[in-house]
Amino acid sequence: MHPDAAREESARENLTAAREMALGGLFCALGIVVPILFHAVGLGRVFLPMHLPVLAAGMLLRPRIALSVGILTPWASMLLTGMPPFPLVILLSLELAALAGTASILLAVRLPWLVALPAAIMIRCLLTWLLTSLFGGALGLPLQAAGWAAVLSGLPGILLQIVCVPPIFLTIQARRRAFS
Amino acid sequence: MWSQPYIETSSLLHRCDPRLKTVGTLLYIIAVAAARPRSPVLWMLLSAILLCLTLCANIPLTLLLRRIAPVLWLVGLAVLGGLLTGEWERGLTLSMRCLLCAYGVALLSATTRFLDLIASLQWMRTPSLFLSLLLLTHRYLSVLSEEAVRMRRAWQSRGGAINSVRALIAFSRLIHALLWRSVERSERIANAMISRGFEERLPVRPLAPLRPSALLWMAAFGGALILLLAGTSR
Repeated sequence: MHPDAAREESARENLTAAREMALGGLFCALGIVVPILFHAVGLGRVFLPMHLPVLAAGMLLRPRIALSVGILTPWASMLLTGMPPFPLVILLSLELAALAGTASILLAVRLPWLVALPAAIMIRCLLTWLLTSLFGGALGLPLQAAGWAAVLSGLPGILLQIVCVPPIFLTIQARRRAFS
Repeated sequence: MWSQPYIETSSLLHRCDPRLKTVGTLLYIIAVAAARPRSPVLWMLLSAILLCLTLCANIPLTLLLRRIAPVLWLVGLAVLGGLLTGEWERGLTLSMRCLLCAYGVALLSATTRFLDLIASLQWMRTPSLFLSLLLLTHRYLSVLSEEAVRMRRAWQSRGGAINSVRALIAFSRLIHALLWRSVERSERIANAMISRGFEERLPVRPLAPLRPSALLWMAAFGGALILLLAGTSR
């Protein structure tokens, strides 16, 4: 490769990395602010507010950064706002990593977003069911009851994700295409 | 928009090296996770450690207890599980573990600044991608909070209640606007990062070299926890 072309390629890669990093940091911060906003207007956790920015991150960022956003957002929120509390942060971190990671990986293998979005949400639901069932079992609750309760109580949130995330994703994709 | 977890005051625990506090909290969590269920003395001693540290931190106990209040529903679930199955011990041990761990983490975040925590994580060889993302999160949280406060005010001035599908759609648009503005902001941030010579990661403010006394304290705390677990396992 010509040295100038290599330099240009490296500069472009650096710009993409900076963009993804900045976007990742902002989605992480949104993962903290959006739940506070939801609670401020009286909407509870059934709307899964932290999932919204994390899913958007999964749809827009590369798998490595999307996964990191999914893992880090609950921990950063716990350290900066105290919510979610410690043991629950582990479950949420795994769930969000699955949500963002699946969406990002499926889009990276060139699957259409109409497949990637529901697939990511479904895998997240499966993981929620599994983890909450295990946790409920450890608390002595009937096996699966806690899992189903957790999944079904999040249905309004899933609806909100399906309504909110695609417009953001499509607008940013169109903007990126125009830029490139 | 929310109460900062760090409580500004002068105390022994506040002056402690952040690495010592972070490693100490991790060791404590491991000890709580490994503690035997049928040992009331051990659980009392583990709780007493936190109580002593709270006294050293010069922070009101009620303040930290209020912060771990969200974990209380786990205790409720454990009681429900006990009622359903008759196995009280398992659920109560788990809720005790959760409460102690949550209290330990609340104490850490109340006595350590977020940037010091990030520096401690760097010392513990946390991947640089995680640290860069945490730094950016911390940097832009205040900016986004201001935006969210403005949006909340606008929402409240238009009624401030979600009592219909229309109101829910309007609220979805509000969240959409917040996401969109953030994306636009991130473009500007990325350009600023590049112009300042960004290369794959952001620099973390380094901490002063770790004093031998801090290392000794770390070892002593870890040793005390091991002795505590070993002593009460018989």
